[in-house]
Amino acid sequence: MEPLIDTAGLVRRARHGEAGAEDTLVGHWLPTVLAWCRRLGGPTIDAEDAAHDVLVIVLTRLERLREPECFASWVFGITRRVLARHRRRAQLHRWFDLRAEPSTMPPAPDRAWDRTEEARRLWLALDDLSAAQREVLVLCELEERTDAQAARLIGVPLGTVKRRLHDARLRLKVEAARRGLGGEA
Amino acid sequence: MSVERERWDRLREMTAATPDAVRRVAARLRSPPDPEVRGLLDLLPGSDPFTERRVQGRLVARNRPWLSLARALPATALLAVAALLAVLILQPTARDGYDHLLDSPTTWREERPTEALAVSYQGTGRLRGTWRTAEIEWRVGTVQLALDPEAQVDLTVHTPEAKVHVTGTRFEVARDARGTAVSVLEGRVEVECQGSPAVTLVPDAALSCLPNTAPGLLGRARALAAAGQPPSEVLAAAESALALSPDPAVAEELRLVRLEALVAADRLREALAAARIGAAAGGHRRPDFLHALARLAWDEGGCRSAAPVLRDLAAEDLIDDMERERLDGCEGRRPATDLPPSEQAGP
Repeated sequence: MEPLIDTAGLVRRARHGEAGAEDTLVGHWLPTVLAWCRRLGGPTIDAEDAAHDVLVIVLTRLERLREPECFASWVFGITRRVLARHRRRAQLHRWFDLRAEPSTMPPAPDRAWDRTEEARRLWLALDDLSAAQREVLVLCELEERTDAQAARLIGVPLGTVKRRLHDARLRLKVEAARRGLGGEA
Repeated sequence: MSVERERWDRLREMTAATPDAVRRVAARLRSPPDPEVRGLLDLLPGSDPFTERRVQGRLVARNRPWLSLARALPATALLAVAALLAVLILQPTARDGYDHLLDSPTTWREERPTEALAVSYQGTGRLRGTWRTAEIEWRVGTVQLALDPEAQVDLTVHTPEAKVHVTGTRFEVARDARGTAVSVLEGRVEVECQGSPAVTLVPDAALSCLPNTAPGLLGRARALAAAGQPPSEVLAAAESALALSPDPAVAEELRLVRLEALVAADRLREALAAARIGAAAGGHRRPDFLHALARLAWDEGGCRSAAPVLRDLAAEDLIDDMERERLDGCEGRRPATDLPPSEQAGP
């Protein structure tokens, strides 16, 4: 969920160059951005790199944000574009087989999740959904936002969110069942 | 009427909300959490403090994604290739630069490094350049240049005293000990004498850049004297150089040149004072100053003035025959023969 702070006020203070405001803003939003990058980016991208890229863009373009009240949806839009770029790059790397050889080192504790068989199957199922469907699933189901909150964040009408959520649930169930995940869940 | 009624009824039946359709729409609108989906999605990772700290550390360093090595290297390589191509395209003969030693002290010679530039010279210097720029370091002698104005060649002639800049004209640069003289035959030339603002010369105009160092001015003074130029010019050069506080050896030479110029200008009292100063200063030119002092003192006051100097010359074994005769005459060892008019007693 979004941080429970006065983000708009913090953005204004950061734009006025107030000492520490930028760091506070980053500190509060980093967990949210990192979670979005992991959940929406998938295992093919480096979520850490993506989150870093998102926050660098946020900090360098903070001056251009017209309405600080819209900071959350602005950050979500940046995250969405950065993730799309990272996914394209990952696909390109796979296409040209540019990825490094798999490491023989055990995965870092924070990356262990994407090595499990269940996670792999879930990602395959999610990959069959559109990016828009993945977004509403993560925002509404996992992060427990209301449909209205998700609609504001994504920047689409409420009805669109509801429709996408409904379709996404059905589709995920079908795809999960096809991969042997749905039955247990 | 009945037919129309039937049609409306059929349409109403076709578009009527069936219970199934109502349930589907209601489900969509309600969007209650779906435990099954939630159970699946719980497998997805969220944020974690380890990664957060790593990202924060990178942000402190403020790595700009567009400056990361992976992006900077190809971009740099592309820029380098583009710059190389630009140089090759814009300056196709830049690689064919020329560098000629111009060394013909006695006869006139010609050099034509490019179609646009013709150099005629008698003297010594160096000519370097490309098809776009040319540079001449001129040491001594005269160099005449003809430059095609259409070719847009940037030509500069450097001498120790002057910088002559031109993009298309015919002109001449002559350098000797007196300095650098620039005269324009055609077009315009910008001349910058060292330490002075640039001056634009038009055809038939000429400008001389004088040496601006004490040794250079000493050379100019001597060259002027050797060329029989008015003593006032020699004096001006020597006095300008002395004003620059030159080192002792150069200063001594300059005082001697000044003394000779004062004598030539018939300013004998000043010459006498200059000779006294030069003799008192010592140095390896002291004998010259003493001889000059003896001569000037003799002319001014005969034995009364010259005898002490003549004695000094004798004591230092520097005295010549004429001075010996004068000293002997002053001391009564022989009759004085060439007394100055002031000492020649009437009968």
